[in-house]
Order: sequence, then structure tokens, then C-alpha cells
Amino acid sequence: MGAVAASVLRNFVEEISARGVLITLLLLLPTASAYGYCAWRFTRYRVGAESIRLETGLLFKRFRDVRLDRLQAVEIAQPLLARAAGLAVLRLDLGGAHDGDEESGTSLSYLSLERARTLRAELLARAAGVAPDIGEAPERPLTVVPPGRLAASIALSPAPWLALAAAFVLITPALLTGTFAGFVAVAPALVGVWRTSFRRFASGYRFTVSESPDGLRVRGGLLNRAHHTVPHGRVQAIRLRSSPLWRWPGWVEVQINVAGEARSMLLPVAPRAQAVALIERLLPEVDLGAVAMLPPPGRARLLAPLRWRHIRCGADDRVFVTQSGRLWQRTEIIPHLKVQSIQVVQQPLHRALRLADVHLDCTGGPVRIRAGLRDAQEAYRIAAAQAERSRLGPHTTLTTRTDRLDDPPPTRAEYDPQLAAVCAPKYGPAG
Amino acid sequence: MPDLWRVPPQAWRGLSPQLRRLRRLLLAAGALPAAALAALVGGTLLGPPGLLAALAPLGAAVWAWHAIGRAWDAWRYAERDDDLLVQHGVLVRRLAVVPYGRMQLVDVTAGPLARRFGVAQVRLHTAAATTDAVIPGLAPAEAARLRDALAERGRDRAVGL
Repeated sequence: MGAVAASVLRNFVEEISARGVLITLLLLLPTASAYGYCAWRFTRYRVGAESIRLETGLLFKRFRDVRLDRLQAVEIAQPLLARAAGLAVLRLDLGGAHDGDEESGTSLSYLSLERARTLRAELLARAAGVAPDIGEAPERPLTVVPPGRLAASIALSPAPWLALAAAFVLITPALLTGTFAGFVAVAPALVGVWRTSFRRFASGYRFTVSESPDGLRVRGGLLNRAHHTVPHGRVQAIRLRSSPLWRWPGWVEVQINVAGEARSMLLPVAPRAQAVALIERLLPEVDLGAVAMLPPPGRARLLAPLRWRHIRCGADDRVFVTQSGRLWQRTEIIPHLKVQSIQVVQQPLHRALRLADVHLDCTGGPVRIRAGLRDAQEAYRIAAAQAERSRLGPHTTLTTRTDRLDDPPPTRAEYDPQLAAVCAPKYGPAG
Repeated sequence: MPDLWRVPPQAWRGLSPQLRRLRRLLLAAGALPAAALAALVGGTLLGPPGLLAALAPLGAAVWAWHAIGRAWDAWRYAERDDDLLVQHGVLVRRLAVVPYGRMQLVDVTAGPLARRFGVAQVRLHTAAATTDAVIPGLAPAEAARLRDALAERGRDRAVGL
């Protein structure tokens, strides 16, 4: 089999001549251009009061009506070539599954950058129910990531160094013996270096988060500039993460889950205080420092001797917060209103130690919320309290917690007044 | 725990006995030929004592028979005023709480064999892919009732993303 394939391939290679290549190009180039022209010519859109209608396709026509009130985010992307030509792609993000945004016909390519900006402003204004010709909403920058800090943060994370070390180990024998096989082997490692460092730098270059009336504007990128807007209240969950060496300058990375939105990076690197300030702006009336974080019971040490010290969870009347990780310390935050469902999971070992995990499910994205290794009774109480918060819904505010970090840690019954109400009469003071 | 969830014990519902029957039938359909094959191979290789080789698949089948029963027993669900509780698992115990307001759709599925036995599976979907709320075996009438009840309550309490 291999021999046959090799001989076929050799014949094929021998038959490639300069003339052949030229003829192929001559045929291919007009075809491709004609296709590109037709694709552009037959793409139309019309903005209505309640929807935008997209019409694409030359032979197979496709009409798509996108309801504006279902719009989760509108993004302007500029791939490298389009950027050189001053063009942009407008992507419409809808909630639910993202089954390949480009293919599903919810992107418009290409518009001039200016046109893309005004169209986006118009769509967002219509979606928000404001006059459509209001123009692009004014924005106020909240955070800018300086390139120097971005470069330093990549240099301080272990992944690029590991990839570089792997590349070095692979390339050494090739250099010593002078064979070229080693260079082939090194390619994946170099791809790893690219992915872990250069691409992170390119995508986070001049990363800016600004605030505007229609939502949070996130833009950044060295080669491809991306620009998207997260409408207010669409942030489902937030994660702060720091790699081991970042703790020394006190940096964190912030990622968010947004329904139907593949992009999750909110801040590639920022000082913790800045990140917390940004989160508190995203989730108004939330004071992260005031959320009482409770450790798991001491017997959880048997299952996680190293991590145990870093596991915490807590809730106030608006958000649920978990902390975990010894080296890569993570803090995850989910507003109660964004919790889709609640699970209590008890592995056999956990049951022997009367422990359980609580998972709060939220829409797709990198952020997963799980409060690990809680006391089993407490886990069920947390789940019951979350269910109660879902029941109360968005328009009811719960009684506000007043205890701060410097207060003595609350006992289990005081964990949350709502909990006590749910647990009454057995687990807490009655009503 | 019932006082924690404020669900009276009789409000917890179990699965249809037909599901247990279906699973045990499938088990028997697999285990009996396996035992026969083991006896045949053992008998030809070792003579009459080799027939005892059939005991291994049979023993496994007996254990699986009980495991099916325990898993069936452990699966239960309760409709509360504002959410659905689904509890299952023998080794790994799981409890899922799905608020009606967060449900996006309710699937009722039944394969050809399941239809013959009169069981249907109800699955709840929310905007989160990790939501794991499945009720695997209900009588079709109960499945339809549950689906309609859930859909109706979901409509009343729907919350946007």
C-alpha cells in the first residue's frame, strides 16, 4: 500500500512542470475571482424594525431572518487581508448553540469598516429599543492592557517555556548528528511555542475594554483585530485565574462565559484590583470582598491534601463564588440568575467521608462552577438555597448580608438567612 | 433530606417497572448465550468439569440483575412548585435541580424496543450543556403528562439568558 502510494506520488511530482502550474493558476484565478465576485454580489441584507434579513448564495439561495431581540452580541472582525483593504466582517451572535458562525449565515462579509461600525451601532440600538439613527454609542475606556505587561505575563507563564524546552530537546540530536529528521519532529513543538506565546501576544495586543451604553466593548489584536460588544447582563459567569509566577506581580486573567459567544477573554492580564473593579462594574451591587468564603470540612484533607487549603465557596444575595487550585489559583463567580441547573454529585469515596460536590451549570464557555468537597449536608443545603434563589427570580431581592470578612466566620446555620429559612426547622433557626 | 426540599415522601415518583423488565430481558438475552458458549468451550477443552465455566457468565448476570434493580430503585424524581428534582445513581449519587424557568426544551424519546415495552425517556435541556436531568423510563402517558406539565410551567416562569 505504502509503496503504491509513494510511486503514485512520485509520478505526480514528476509530472508537475512550470507550465502545468501556470495553466492551473490561469484557470483557477478567474474561477476563484468569479466565485468571490458572485458571493459578494449576491449577498444582501436589509435591516427591518424587528429583524435583519440576510440573503446569500448564487445557486442555493438562503434567506435568514435574524430577530434583533435575540441578538447576544455584534462583533466586528478584521482578518489580516481584510484589514489591509480596510474591510471588516460583521458577525451576529445569537444565543444558544454556536454551530459555526460563518456557515450558519449570521455573518456579513465584507463591509467597509465605516459601514460595519454604523450598521453595528444601528443593530444594537434597534435591539436595545433606541432610535436606530442614534449613531455609535459613546464609549469610555475602562482598562487597557499595555503590551509590555502582556509580554511579561507570557514570559512569566510556564507554558511557552515548556514548549520551548521540548523543541530544544527534540532539535539537539538533529543538530549534533546533522540529520534533518529531527527538524520534522520539532515542528509540533514549534507550533506549541507559537500557540502558547506569539498567538497569545497577538490576540491580546492592545487589549481594551470600554464601557458604552449598549454594553461592554472588547477589542484587541495585533494582526487580526477583533472588536465585539457584550450587551449588559449577558455575562453568564466569570473566572479569575493566575498562573504560579503571576502571583508575585499580582496579575490575573479574566475570562467570561457569554451565551452563544465563542470569545471568552475579557482581560488577558491585569492587576487583581483592576480585574475586581471591572467585575464589580459588570455585576453591579456585588462586593466580592464581602462574600464570606467558607472552607471545606477538615476531613476533606484526606482526599485533597494539597488543594484543601485553597478550596473555598461562598454566596451573597447576588452571586455564588468558588475558589480552588493551589498553583493555578482560580476564582469563579456566577450570578444566581444565570444558574441554569444545580447538581449535587457524590462519588463513592466522598460518600464514605460524608462529602459531596455542588455543580452550578451555566451556558457553554471555559468557566465551570463547582464547589468541591463540601460536607454532604451542607452541599444539599447549598443546592436548596440556590433553587430557592432561582424561584425568587430576577425581580425579588433577597435580604442583604451584612457580615464582612473581619467578622467571625458564620456557623453553618447562619451561612445564609435564606438557607436557614429553607432548612427550617431542622437545620436552622425557625423563620 | 425530605424536609430540606420540602417534598413529602409520596411526591417522589419512581420509574416504570417496565424499564426494569426491559433491561433484565436484554441482560438475559446476552447472558444465556454467553453461558452456553462458555459451557461449550469448557466442555470440549476439559471434559465434564469444564461445564462449570458457564458459572462465570451466570454469576456476572446474577450480579447485574441485582445492579439493574438497585439502579432502578435509586432513580426518582419529584415535581416541586418551581423546579424538578431528579435523583439517581447507586455508586455515584447525583441530584439534579432544574428550575422550570430555565428549561429550554423537553425531549421525550422512545426506541422501537422501548415502545414495545411501553417506556419513554424524558430529558430536560437548559441553556447549559452540562445539565444532566434524564428520566429514562416512564409509561408513555406519564411521560406525556410530565412533558406537558413541564412545558406549561416553563412558559409561565421563563427567564431570558
